[in-house]
Amino acid sequence: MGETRLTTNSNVTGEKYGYFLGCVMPAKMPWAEKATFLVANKLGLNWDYMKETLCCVRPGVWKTLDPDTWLTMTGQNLALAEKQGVTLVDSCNGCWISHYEALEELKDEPEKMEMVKEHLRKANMDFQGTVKVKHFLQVLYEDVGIEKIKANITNPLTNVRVMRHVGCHGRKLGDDVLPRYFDEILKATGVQLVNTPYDSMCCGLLVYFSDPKIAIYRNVFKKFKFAQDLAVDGIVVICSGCYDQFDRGVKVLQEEGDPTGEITEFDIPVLHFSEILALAMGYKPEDFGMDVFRTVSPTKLISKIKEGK
Amino acid sequence: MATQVKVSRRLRYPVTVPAINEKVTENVIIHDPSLCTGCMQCMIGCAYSHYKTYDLNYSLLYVNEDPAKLGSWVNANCSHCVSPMCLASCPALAIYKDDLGIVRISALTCIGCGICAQACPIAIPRPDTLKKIYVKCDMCNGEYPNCVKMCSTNALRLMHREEAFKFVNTMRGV
Repeated sequence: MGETRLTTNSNVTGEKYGYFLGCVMPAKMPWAEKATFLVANKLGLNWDYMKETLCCVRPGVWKTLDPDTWLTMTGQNLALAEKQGVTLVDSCNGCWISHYEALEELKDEPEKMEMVKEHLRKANMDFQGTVKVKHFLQVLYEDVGIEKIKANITNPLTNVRVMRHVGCHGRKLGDDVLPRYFDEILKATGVQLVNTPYDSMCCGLLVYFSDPKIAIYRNVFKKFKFAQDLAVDGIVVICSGCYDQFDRGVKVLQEEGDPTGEITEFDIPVLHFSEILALAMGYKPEDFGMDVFRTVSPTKLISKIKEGK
Repeated sequence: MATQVKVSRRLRYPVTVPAINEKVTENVIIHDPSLCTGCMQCMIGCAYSHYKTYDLNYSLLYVNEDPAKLGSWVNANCSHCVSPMCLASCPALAIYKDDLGIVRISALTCIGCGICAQACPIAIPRPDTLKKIYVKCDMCNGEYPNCVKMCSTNALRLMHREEAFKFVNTMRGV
């Protein structure tokens, strides 16, 4: 993984951000990765990949299985970010909550901190706990500021109607933090936000390993049924985990069909937040490969944007 | 569990119920539906900490969609009541309060009749089909409960009983 994949903003100064890709984004969402870098560069952020990362160590699984393993492995990511002198930035809610909670827990509990340090010492690593962990939305809203984002919007997407999905962990700090940032930045891009009762419902990823049927036929299906009924142009997500679940869920629904028999085709694309921002900032869909490598291609949305209707 | 106490809290006249004492857990688990996303992490955490499985059927608390409000979730979890109906109803005297005030079902004494589940206003005890007894929340033996630890949005919280009472009344608009 590395420097050659995308052009990074090496000439700018300011807080150095290390973007933690996570597992889903490089595997399933290359367009989102590219769009994120385009947006970060456009906004003049000192932005680069975070290097030599491990898995974020999915908290939903590892916190139950073995909290100490979770803390140690996540601690290794934190230690690496500290060593590289970057602020660790996640756009996946799962990665963010894992890093954020582990850091909070390590700061609060000196015994756990000592345990993690002891393990990391064996790998010749040092950890002081001075690293900062931020969500991509926090970087955009708190560090860049909504005014600067608005100033960079050159192509407002006023004709685009979207449903949005913040995701469970994004609500951990309360609805006034990440969900509000998400909404305000989306509104700044000019898109029309369509409200549904299921906006805050979990995507189903967290329950997928326990019960795939509930995860797909309750969570994904209900969201997509609303999306189809309201004929929105897409469902906007910020979290790569949610995208993973929606992508898989839609594939199953396309193959198995609607259990109620009402919907014949599932053709609403799932969009990443950065794509909407990149489009609104004047980039073309082909600049970040928007139409490739997706279960549901956003062809209709692309033509709508190009026609400007 | 030998003493007999008069329970007159909500009744017009005192009723003597065997094996009840006023001992209660200091904290209770509280659910805030406005934050819940129905992710079921609490159920997974509960099933894992008690049965070492991620199977939702083994959970001791339950998340269901609110039939009255689309996209809203209700969580049924044990309050470890001051005067538990499950305890009062048990014909085998298998339900008791331990030193911490946690309401427990004795696996040795339980006969699996299920009266406790019927007596509980929110049907917390559930059958364990393998052991042929009823089981319920044990507050993770007084440690920080795993369901609260696993909650992805802070919808489940561990609160002091008095604070929780006020919080729930505020939520209900009382």
